[in-house]
Amino acid sequence: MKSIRSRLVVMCLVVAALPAVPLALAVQSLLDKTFNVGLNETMEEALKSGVAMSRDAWDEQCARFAGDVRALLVDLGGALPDSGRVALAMKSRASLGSTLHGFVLARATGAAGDTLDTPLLSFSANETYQRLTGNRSFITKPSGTGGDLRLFESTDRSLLLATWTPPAGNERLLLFSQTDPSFLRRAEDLIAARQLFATLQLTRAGLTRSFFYSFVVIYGACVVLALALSLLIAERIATPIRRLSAGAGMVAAGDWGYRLDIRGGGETGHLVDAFNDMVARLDDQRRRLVDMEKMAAWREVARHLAHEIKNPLLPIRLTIEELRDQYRGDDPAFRALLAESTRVVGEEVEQLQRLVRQFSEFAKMPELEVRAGSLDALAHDVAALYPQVTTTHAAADPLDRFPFDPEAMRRVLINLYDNAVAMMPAGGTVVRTSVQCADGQAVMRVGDNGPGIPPEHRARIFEPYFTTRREGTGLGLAMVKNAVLLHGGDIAVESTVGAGTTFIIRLPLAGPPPAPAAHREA
Amino acid sequence: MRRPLMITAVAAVAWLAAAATEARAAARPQITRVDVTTMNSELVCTIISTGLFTEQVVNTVESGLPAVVELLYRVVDSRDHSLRRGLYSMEIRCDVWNNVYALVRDDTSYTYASFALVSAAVERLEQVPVMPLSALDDATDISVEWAIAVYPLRGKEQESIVGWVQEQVGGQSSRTWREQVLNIDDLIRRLSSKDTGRRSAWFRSPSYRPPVEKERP
Repeated sequence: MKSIRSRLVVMCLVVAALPAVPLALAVQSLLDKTFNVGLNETMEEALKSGVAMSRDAWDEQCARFAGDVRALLVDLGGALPDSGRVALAMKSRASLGSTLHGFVLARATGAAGDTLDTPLLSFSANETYQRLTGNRSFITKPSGTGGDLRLFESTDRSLLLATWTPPAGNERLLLFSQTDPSFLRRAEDLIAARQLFATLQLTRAGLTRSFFYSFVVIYGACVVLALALSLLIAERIATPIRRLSAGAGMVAAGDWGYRLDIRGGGETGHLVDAFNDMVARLDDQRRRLVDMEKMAAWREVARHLAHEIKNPLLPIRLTIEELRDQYRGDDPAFRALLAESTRVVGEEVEQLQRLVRQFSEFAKMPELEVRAGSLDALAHDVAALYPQVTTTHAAADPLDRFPFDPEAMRRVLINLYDNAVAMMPAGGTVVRTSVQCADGQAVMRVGDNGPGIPPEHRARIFEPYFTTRREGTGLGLAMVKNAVLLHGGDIAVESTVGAGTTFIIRLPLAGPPPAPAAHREA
Repeated sequence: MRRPLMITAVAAVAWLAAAATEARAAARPQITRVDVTTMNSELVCTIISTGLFTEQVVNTVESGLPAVVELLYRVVDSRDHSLRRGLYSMEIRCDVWNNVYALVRDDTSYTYASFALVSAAVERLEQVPVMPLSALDDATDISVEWAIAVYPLRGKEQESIVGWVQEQVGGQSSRTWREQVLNIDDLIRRLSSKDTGRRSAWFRSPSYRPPVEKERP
């Protein structure tokens, strides 16, 4: 649980799952209320009443039909009349709002007498009769009427039928009543509505559960999606941090070349860039510090050597001169030898004193006296002393208020020019580029087209006392590096054997850093 | 203090679960008695049951929708080996126009004036045929296990209601969206198509030894 990944995932899960309970309750409540809108007792009673009213209306219609049939039979006198009488009786009843809509008088045939032959007479019943003889099925309408009068209704209730068989004869009178189709349709709609209502009531719990499960499934899918996304995001956040932590450990263990290789935008990218930049700067400062410490050690050696050599030089010189002056002998050969020896010793002593002075100068390395000025102008002035030096990119100096120690930088340039000229005894060209700004640094290059530096020497050329020239002291480039380091900068060398060497000086635009106390004391 | 609290909580949950199970069991139909006998060379049963019809089922039948009563049976011998399994089905209908009820059983329709009468007839079913005696081994004690279930919505009625719900839910959205993103209708169909019926537990009749049939000439 301590890892950032776990925390992020748990947090996302909590955020995704927290609304589950209130949402579930809300959904449940909404579903209940939605069903209650339609599935309530009032609605149920209304539907039941509607169906009951339809049924009552139908029963009433059946009763009226039965009554009308009986009344007609009374009118007919209970005997099969001629057709004219039936028609007349029906017409007279029609004026009273009779439910009788037509009749057929037909001969009954068949063994049971239940098959009707071609109608002998009909009234407003041709269509009805056709329907009757079609596939229409009838059910007996319980009317309480027995005997020779029977009532039927069609299964679709569009037709009421009464059959009357007179006491004698084989003819049969069929009386019809058409039901109002709109009444039937409305009644069927009511029945269908009630069935739907009953079904919904029955399945209400299941439907609610179904909707609720749907919600749960969708919500669950969202939570799973949120979990997957949170895992992905957490992984993407945690990976750079993990690698950053590992990188910090590597750097702490001394692997200064470690760099994070994580591609990413936003804060992660900035963090990775900042880490890499920080490690690079730290490495740079560390190397500079090491160089400065080495240089300080070399300076101490130089100081000690200068001190140890300088002290006996004067007595040696005085002694040998005294020896020469005190000789009173007549041997001209010996006198000449003495004079020659005195001269040689004097010259060697003078050479040693020069060396001691150089050691002393290297050992002293006074504190920088920083002033704002133009490094380019200084380089131009120094270059004027060397006819071999040409300057390229002599554009307007962008750093006319650059903070540096002019004296130290003059020595740097003189040493570099001297070194370049010395490397080209047969002549050549020294090229200096004007000072340029790059990456917060002032950059200047000094190059020659001399023999170049062999690769095995390149790493050591800035070490004190390392020289490939017989008359060199090996202190020139060491002093150059020392001065550049004191300015907070760096010097690098690029060389190709047979093509030449270029020194690149980089100084911070902000100027030299404050010297550490230890160095000041040194 | 924590352990007693936890024990109390677990006990409470267990009690609630048991109560819920009991309540559900009480709401289910129950067969209370089964008598096995023979009639016309056939093994028949009289089944007495209770709690078949809930108010909602009655409402459904009264609205004109048919309800199906299914009886599942299995004949087992004394070693509990199953000798026969079967299903006996009946349908209850209501003629809304004439307010009469019909019980369709063995292809015969019996008419009743009220639902109470139909209910009484179903809750005491007599002479339910099980199997011919000739199919039984001689001198074997058998028992008949019965379970009864009532399905107020079967077949097309159920499809109809699911279709209606589908229409109400999916009517507003485009078909493409439904098909491609998340077919909620299908989900609802699957969930709500679960049977709305209620089934009793199995009830085993007392052991019965059928009479040995005389050899036919």
